Amino acid sequence: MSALKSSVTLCILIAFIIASSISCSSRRGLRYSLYPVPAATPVAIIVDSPNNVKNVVLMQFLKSGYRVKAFNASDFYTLDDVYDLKDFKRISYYSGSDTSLISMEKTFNNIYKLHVYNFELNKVETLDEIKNKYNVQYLILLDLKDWEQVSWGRVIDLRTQDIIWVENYPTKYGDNLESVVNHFITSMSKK
Amino acid sequence: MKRAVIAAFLALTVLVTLRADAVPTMAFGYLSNSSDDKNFDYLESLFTNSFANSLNKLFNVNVIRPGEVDTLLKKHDSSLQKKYQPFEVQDLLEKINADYFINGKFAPLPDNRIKITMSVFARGHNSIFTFTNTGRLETELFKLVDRIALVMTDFFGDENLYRTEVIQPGKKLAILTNIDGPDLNELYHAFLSKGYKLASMQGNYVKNYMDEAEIGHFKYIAAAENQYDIFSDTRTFVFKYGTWASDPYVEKVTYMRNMLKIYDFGYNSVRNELLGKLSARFGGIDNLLVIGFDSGVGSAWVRCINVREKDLVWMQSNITGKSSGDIANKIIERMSTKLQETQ
Repeated sequence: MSALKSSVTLCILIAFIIASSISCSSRRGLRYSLYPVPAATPVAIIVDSPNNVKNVVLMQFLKSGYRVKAFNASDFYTLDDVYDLKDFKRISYYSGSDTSLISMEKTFNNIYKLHVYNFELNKVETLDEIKNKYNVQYLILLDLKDWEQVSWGRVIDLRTQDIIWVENYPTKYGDNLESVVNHFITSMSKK
Repeated sequence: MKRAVIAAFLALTVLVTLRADAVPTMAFGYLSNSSDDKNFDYLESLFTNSFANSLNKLFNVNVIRPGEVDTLLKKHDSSLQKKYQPFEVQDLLEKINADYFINGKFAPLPDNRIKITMSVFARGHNSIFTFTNTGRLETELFKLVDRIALVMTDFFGDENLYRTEVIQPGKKLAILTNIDGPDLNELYHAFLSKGYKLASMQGNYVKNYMDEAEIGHFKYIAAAENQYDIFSDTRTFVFKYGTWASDPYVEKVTYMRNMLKIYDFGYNSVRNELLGKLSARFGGIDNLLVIGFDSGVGSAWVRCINVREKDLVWMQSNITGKSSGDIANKIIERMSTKLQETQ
């Protein structure tokens, strides 16, 4: 009797482990499209992945008929090297340790905020230049994740600088790199 | 130093909320007449006495009226002034042993209207909340008093709510926040689904550069009419010169003076110019929403600037939810509903 009980408990435990490993991320998928990004449109793609993965992503877009412009996120800006806001903040507070400047909290607070506004302005100006110089219409951002995590994508229409498509896609058990990218391509190319 | 600043910062980030278990003391100063017309001087204490009475009815608070404040200050060889520099208020609060000090100014307008600007200070905090309200002088005087008292009720409530504008779907928003990836998409999805246009500010890159403490800098919004901001104690800005001063010293002091000139006293004009450029680049932004999430993305605060008017039009704290999308839906519900009589 006791052996039977143990077997049942073991089975339940195994079933629970299998069920929990099959299930995807607890985050639900979501999608919004203001208007489609049609094939043959000139696009720039930012993927936060190694080069071999980037190549696969670019290839899928090329196969689907998009005019993919050569573009690297580091051409756009290097967040960590050029505009390191964290370092900037540290320097500000270091200056504040000067005893003659004990009440510069507002100044430092304001400098940080202006720096953020400036940073956003620089980014959008660079995107404007990229749009005009290379005739890019859409900026596509992708972050591709493994099974049980959420892959996500976002499209910006560079003519208006508006966000026109977002999707969170919980990567499924049977997915691979190509299938996830193709899913995103299909999703963004329809309303 | 950094740790001390962060600790001080965290202490400042939460607007002081009236707790049920502690009865706070609110002291009222005068509402100074900022016009040259002495006929309106009688309103200087009448207004604040009325606010004190209204708040006393609405809240379980101890109220010290202007006359009583003056009596208390007399014990310290001082008297209640019509105007105070923000940094002077902390000394006053210590002397009269109060938690809050509320004063302001008014200006009569054409067509028998009046503009009232109120300032709220909390003891131990170098922040100031200022808001403006306009109404008819004779027919709406007491309605105006009630309206301002109720603005304060919202402000002192759990949500630290202040709102002067309805932001309807169709408006173009720019969002500054400290989340990224799927969380940010969830936030965007909520706004897009409800019909708002979204400028891609921050959304145009994969990662976010701000953490919870850094987005906290944006809790302070300086503006001409309505603001929640830090004030400086300008008494500490002493830059000594003399024949003893070396060139490097003079250079350093000049640099610091210029920093103060631009980033403290001149901040609003620099910021407004930048906001104007940002708006133009993004094709015309109606409102800039700053949404600061806690590290678990279970709670958020909001500040909203009307980019055209360059004014603070909404602030709120303690918005809780299961996810960024859930919180975004609550934000949208609040921003799109019509203002109550109090707001």
